[in-house]
Amino acid sequence: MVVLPGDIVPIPESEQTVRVGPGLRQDVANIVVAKAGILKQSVTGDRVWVEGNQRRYVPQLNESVIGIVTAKHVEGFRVDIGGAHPATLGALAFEGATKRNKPNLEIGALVFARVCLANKDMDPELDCVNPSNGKADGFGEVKGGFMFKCSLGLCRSLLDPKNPFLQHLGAICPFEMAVGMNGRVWVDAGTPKQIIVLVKALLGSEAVPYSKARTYVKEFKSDLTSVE
Amino acid sequence: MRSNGRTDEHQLRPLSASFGVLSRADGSSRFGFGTTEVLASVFGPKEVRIRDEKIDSATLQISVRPLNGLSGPLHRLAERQLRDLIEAAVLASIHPRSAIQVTIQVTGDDGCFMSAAVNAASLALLDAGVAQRHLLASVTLAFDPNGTLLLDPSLKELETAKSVHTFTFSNSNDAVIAGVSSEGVYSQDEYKQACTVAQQACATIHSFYRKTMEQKLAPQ
Amino acid sequence: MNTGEQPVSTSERNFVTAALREGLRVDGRGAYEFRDLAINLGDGGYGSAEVLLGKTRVLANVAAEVVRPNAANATEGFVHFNTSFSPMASPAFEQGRLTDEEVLISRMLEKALRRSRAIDTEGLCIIAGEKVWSIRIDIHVLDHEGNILDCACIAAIAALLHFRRPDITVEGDNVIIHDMDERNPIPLSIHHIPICITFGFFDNGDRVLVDPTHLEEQVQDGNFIVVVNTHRELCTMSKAGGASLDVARIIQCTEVAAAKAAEVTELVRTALSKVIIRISIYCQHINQFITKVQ
Repeated sequence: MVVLPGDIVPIPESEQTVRVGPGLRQDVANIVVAKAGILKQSVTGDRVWVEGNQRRYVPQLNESVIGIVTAKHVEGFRVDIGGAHPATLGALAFEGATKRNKPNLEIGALVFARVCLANKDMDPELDCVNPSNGKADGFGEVKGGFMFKCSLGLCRSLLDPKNPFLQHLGAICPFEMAVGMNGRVWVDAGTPKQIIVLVKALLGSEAVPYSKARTYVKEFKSDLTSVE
Repeated sequence: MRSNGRTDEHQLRPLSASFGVLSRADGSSRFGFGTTEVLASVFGPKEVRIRDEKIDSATLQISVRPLNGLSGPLHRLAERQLRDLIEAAVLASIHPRSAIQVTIQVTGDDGCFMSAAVNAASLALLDAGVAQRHLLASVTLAFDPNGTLLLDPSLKELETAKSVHTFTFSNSNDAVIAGVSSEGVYSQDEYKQACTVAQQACATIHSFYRKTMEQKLAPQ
Repeated sequence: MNTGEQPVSTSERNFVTAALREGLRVDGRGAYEFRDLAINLGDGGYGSAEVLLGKTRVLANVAAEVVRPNAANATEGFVHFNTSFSPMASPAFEQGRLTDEEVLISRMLEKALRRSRAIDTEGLCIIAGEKVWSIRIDIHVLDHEGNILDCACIAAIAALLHFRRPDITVEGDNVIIHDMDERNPIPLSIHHIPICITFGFFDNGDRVLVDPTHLEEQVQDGNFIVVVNTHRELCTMSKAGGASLDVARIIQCTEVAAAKAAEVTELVRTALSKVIIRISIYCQHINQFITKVQ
């Protein structure tokens, strides 16, 4: 059901504590909607949130983002992640980095990083390691390819393991992709033409329901496989 | 006969609204009362200059631009009124040291551009996903020289009006006036009459918002 | 500090150039292909035009008033352009402070539209030395997705062609300005239709593109602007700084510009004719209604 800011959400029947998610806020005894969207509830009834879409990113802990390096300092890098504040990426926040062996990122470089500190009163911080094992696990500088911007909703859908567009597209033309939850997606494939067609296909997939994915992807087949 | 073929004094002109009109803005909307139309954009929460930043809340930057000519005192007044309304609606404390920028461009003016601006701003903030306490709906009313109350007057009707009132109501508590601005000569009874009619008209606008949003998010 | 304009990454910069070397543009267009052009006229009354070039959006509005002419040019009216870069178009545009880009664009529009004498200023005279029309064109840039200049020029010229001023009768020293409903309003006298075509060049002048997108503008080595009309008359040319271009390239660009200008002028004329058809159908309806009532 579609909800608008100001609507009061009835507290779902549940014996457990109900967690109030994004798009909702507590106002004394009521749960009130703060953003427009579709009201969703978990099957067990212990979580309730508003599913909406927006383009501006607000940093959240543990989310992976794609940043652009804007400045280099001794202690680390200043990275633009598209939010209200620039983020800092420590010089040693990489796998195997030591004082003598620091990564050398140039201004304008793309990094795929993890938000390790995010609260409303401080500038966000990033690192390029998986906290559980200290390995890079895909984080770090991203070279080549092309990056495009999209809505946060499309990013979430591209991270969905069940997303059929990625499977169908990958079957026609293998490609590499890094999805930042800050509305930025990086793509690399064999030729520039394939990258251009893939970007168009991915951006357009936002308006197409999952059920029509196969027919939608077929339209791009000839452009992706032509040899020119 | 009034403008747009209206026969009733308490009739609104046809309402129009759309979202996501602009490409660069985080959120945008168009709202119209008949041919009076306004385009609104929202950027934010985005970076703010250090001299403008507030440590505990987002800084609101509001700008109202006319279709014709340079903006003047009328638009500064509109910005001030819009700021008061938006400050009360937006949950600015969750984004300290940032800016939320709202810009209004008048694209057609046949009277009541201020009300259209409030409505467009509210919808643009909605489109941008800025957290708000409630939505705002605004209408303008005028009393003609005979003392008849006209809802949503055209420029021609405003020219001869004895008094003009702009009312704004939120959708969370429609018994409370979110904002009102009156000018001219009017009695207490006239004011109360205007308030009652405005309340009903704003409720109509709030249902219109809901229908428009439902069509956008869950099209059947 | 740049409040809000996102920096361009090296990946994006390199990709745009690499793709161009294979004859490809990021949005799939050809080098000399314009984005989709949509011209919306008349929503704000006569003289109001909102133009979409791809996703770049510009609104132009024309208004007229009667004023006293200059002593030096007693028989000429005034044409005044005001270009405003709304903060809604881009986070780089701020109220009160003009960026270099904004200044350059305002100046080019002046050159293209006013200094090219597209508008007949002598035709704006009412009573020599006493009363003339002063035409004001407000250009609002609403969405910056590249090539604001070409889009703004089309919006301004469409608005000027669409505009109708009130009809007037001169009786001795008195001027009667007729109501728009009383007597049919009159269009402006426009000598020619200047169309602005911007070329972006890349890879040290080896690649030249028409109608650059916002990303292409950020990556380009420089640009070259040609203002030309359908009679293949060159009104203005501008190449300010940037990498050097071969002279043969410049000639080639002017040829392309002439062809593009003809295409765009045709689109503007089509948009105008549609509006006129709509107005006359509306008038027919009204006439039928009035006869019925009687």
